[in-house]
Amino acid sequence: MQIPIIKLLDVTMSYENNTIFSNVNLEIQSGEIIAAKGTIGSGKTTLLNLICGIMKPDSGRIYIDKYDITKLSSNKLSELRAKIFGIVPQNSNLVPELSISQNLELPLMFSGIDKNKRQSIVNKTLDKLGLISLSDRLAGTLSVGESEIVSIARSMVNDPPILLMDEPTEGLDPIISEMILSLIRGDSIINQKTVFITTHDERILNIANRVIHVKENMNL
Amino acid sequence: MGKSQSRLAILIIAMTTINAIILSSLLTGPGIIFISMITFCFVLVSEYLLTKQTIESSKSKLMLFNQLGAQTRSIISIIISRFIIVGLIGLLSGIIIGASVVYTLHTPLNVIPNLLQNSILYISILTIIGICIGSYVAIIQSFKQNNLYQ
Repeated sequence: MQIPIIKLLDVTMSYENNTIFSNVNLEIQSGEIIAAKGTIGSGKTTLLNLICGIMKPDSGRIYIDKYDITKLSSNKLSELRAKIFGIVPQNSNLVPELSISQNLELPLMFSGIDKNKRQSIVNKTLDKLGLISLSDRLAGTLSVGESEIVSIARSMVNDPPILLMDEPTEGLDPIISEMILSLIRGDSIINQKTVFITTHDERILNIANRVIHVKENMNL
Repeated sequence: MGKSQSRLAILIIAMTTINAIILSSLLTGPGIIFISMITFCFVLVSEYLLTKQTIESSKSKLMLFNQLGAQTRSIISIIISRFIIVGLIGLLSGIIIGASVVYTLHTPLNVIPNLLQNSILYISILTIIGICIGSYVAIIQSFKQNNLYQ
């Protein structure tokens, strides 16, 4: 039997004395596309943050590949995060004073890749996504939709096995949303990656292999 | 750390150093130690508040670096080293201005070497220690509050 790449075991999480969820169990296999839906404030983003170790659960265990991330030191966790996860945050979060290619270089820099290699990897990724013409533009000059696409490109630049996307099509116009959907669908880009997406978008829910409903006391 | 925050930090450290040098030139023995301790406390509190404000205003950038896998120790050392650099600029400016004022107030030249030995050294060391401790405590506290680098 295949070992799940992500495994949550009896995870309980609360915030300011409010239980967000308790005793959550979740297993995600390698290569699966999982969509997490739920009402606003139901804990979708918290679940995503728990998976990548940005938040620590009150109790329970979270396994990523063979590592129990609840037991890792913060530096080991950062190392793991740089290698295993590509994260697309809700608000794209590019550094506005840096160019697109410099923004894409950041994850490679944190992974300890040489400066010479970084540029060629960045160019390859930008080329693959049809963004090479934007490479020298400052991130601060991009539209919301363009920023979101660059943010997705940044999450993929170091070829991580797991992609975590927080509402990637939220508030975007239909054309940009369709571009993002085609990126998620496209075999050449998200090749064999495990993708965890929080969303309300029906089109993403249709692409996903599995949809989970995030709510209090869920058991998945 | 933005330009305005750097300017503010330089100004605070410079003003504190100028005050400390002038006051300690008017005192002797325990008076100098007392002024140095007050300077230390002032630097500690002001650097703590400035670091907190800097982290608050750079929260999204810090959150991003956290998500991208930046090492906690690297982030802490980058923030503290920036405060130390800015602090040293402030300290140097303060020493130059303070010493000039003291030189003008005390016409006899023999005050200066004495002043250099007793007060500037204490004030400089305590200021740098104050910057390091104040910034470090603020960083750790802000990271805990904002769920960063845990």
